[in-house]
Amino acid sequence: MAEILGENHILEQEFLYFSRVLSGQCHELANALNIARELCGLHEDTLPRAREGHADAVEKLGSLAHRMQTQIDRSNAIVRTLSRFAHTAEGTRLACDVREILERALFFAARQVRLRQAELQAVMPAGDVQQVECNPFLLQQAIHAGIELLLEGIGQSRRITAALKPDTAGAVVTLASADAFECNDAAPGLLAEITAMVQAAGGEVRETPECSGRLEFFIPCCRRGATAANSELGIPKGTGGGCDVS
Amino acid sequence: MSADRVLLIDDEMEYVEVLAERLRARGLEVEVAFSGMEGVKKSQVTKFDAVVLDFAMPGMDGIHALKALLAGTPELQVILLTGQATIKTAMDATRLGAVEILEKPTDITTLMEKIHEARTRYGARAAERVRRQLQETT
Repeated sequence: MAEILGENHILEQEFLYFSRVLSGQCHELANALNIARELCGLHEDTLPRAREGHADAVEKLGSLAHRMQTQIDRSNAIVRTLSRFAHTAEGTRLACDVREILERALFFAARQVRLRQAELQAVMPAGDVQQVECNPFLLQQAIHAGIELLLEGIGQSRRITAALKPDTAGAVVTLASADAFECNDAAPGLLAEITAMVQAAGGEVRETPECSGRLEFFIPCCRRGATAANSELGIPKGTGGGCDVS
Repeated sequence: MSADRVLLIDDEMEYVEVLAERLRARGLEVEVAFSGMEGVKKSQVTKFDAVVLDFAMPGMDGIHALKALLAGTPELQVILLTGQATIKTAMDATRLGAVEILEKPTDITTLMEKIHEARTRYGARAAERVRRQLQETT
């Protein structure tokens, strides 16, 4: 019974994460579309003067087209990222591009960070990072939960850093607040949940200094088996939520 | 008659700037604020006929901003313009004193009408307050 309850809790948390991502990104998409709509309105407002040959109005039409393009690109980025994310909910451990998983998790967390008046800085390695073997959905969820935990304890710095470092045996994702704080005081029980998520994803929380405001997730590199598993699942390269088959 | 003076409060800078430009082109005097706090501060130094307020914003959200705006000027006509209009939001905002709840995207003509109606109401309420004060003193 306890196992069933535990499993239900995990499923509930996964569903909640999925819903939050969807709701936040729908809002972001709506914002972009609303801006595009107003820009179209401004275009209509400007058109009569441009037709009369006023140089400033003609110039403005050009600038409006550029601004509309920006919002279209923003919308496309949201749709593309959501689509890739949807493919990660298959609950399988795969050979994955950890950089892409982290970037996607940060993309989704950005709205929440902004609403909490904080700043999220990503530090990515310049070179390649070898593929890791993990459940990409759970890893994204753990990264998101880690950021939530740091937001709970964040102090005056209002700054969170997310870093990816290659490791001989895999990759390390570090989430750190510029302010030191006691994780369990900031969000009781969340650290234990994050630890369980990272383990279920196929990694481990390497370092959990309770009062440092810092989390470190280790994700092991891809074994041949995971790559083969991707092929068996029929996941072509470049799909499967950013999990490429090498 | 002077132009309607309106304050737009929204953290989506591009949205606010474009909307402000469209309203100005229609003869309104428009000021913008990119946070609830900035909006509240602006409303304390300038008299606006209407405030158009977003709901989801960093820091002071729409509901808190609405409370703060009306605490300073109870007759202020606040129109909530939101992409997150739910029945609960609408009920909360109306209970707190918002005069209109509009869902994004809103047609510019509708928004103009609501702002103009707000100005008329503002004038009537302010006159009513003065009349009551005069009655109390005589």
